[in-house]
Amino acid sequence: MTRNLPAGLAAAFLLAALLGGCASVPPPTAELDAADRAIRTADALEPRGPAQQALDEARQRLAAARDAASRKRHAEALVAAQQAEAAAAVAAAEARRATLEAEVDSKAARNAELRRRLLVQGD
Amino acid sequence: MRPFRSVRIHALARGLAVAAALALVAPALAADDEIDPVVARLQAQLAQLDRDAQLAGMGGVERLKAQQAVQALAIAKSKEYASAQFVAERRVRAAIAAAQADALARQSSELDRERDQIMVAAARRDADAARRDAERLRMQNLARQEEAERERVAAAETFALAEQAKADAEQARRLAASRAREAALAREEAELANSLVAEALAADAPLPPSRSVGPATVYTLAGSAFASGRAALTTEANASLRRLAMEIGGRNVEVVGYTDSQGAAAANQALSLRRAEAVAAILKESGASGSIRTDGRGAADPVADNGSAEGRAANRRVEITVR
Repeated sequence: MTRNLPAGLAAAFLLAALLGGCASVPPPTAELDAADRAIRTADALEPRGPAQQALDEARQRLAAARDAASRKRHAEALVAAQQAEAAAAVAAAEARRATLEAEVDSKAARNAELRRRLLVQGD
Repeated sequence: MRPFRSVRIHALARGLAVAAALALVAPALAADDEIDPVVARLQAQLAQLDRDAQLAGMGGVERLKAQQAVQALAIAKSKEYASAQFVAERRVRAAIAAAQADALARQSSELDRERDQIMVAAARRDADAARRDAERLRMQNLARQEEAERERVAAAETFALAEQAKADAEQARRLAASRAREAALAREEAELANSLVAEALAADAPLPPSRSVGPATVYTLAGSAFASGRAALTTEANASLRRLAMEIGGRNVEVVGYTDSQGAAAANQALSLRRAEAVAAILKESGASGSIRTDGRGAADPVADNGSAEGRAANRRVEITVR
């Protein structure tokens, strides 16, 4: 018994520590908010194609995070919120890149037209 | 699935390596023979991003987050691994997109500057063109002014020539007038001299031969006083008549002309009258102030025989009867 007691205690502590560890993770409120802001930012950039898929993924992860948080599964909620923010970062960066690509193309064409109209044609 | 112990040992090793990787330690990680292939792939993507000179310094925040996520993946525990990979994959993807977006943003700004340069160049070219136009117009205006000046000078010269011609004409006219006056004066002088000569001649001239018929005196101007068939008097006859006029003074006179019998009677009558009138005119202008009656009787009342030359000469006469 005496030999088993420490082992039993150890097992009990381990269980308590595992349960307590889960319970000790605070609600990831900041991460949820950060993910939410990142999604709003990406959404404002009107992503298309792969960026749109990344945004959808971010929304799914944020929904999962909120679901986990509502069930007090904070560690799971924290991970999902971080995933949601990372996916939203992809959506935002790629949407911004697509917008700037179009902008650069447009400006290059505009400059070529200006150069032709103002500098070449008039000479 | 990875063996738990292996993961723990490798995770520790990677943790140490990643700590050094904060100061560019990708090679240190690469030296690890058992490096996680996912981590290695993501590290390689970030290293390639770093090597891209055109993307240098771009997407800084996203790159940092990607590096942190890859580092977290490198030390992730087994149960955290999938989640850490999810995050690291997306953070690397976001870092690449962000760096490229930043480069595009810079390119966009450069295109704006290029547009500004085009506009400035166009404005400068327009200004140059405007300046050239202004210069061209100025030169045209200058040419017009010079042309106008030339025309003005030419007109002035023409006017001056016309004025000179007018002045010359006026001078010529004055000269002509002057000469005309001179000629007139010379003529008057000559006439005066002639009249003085005539008067001098008259003073010395003899009176025509005369005879008394009752109270009257009849002076006979011989036919030799006239040229044959004409009424003009010779100089001697003229002087003689002037002398007679002085004698006559204010008395009344009758002048009658005759011819010889040769020629037509009508012609003789007309010639005799013209001779009588010529004599009367000289008498009047030489001082005879009384009445002077004239008559022409042609071949009537001959005083000699018309059959001889002497007789006909005697018959050609003008008789001046002074009462």
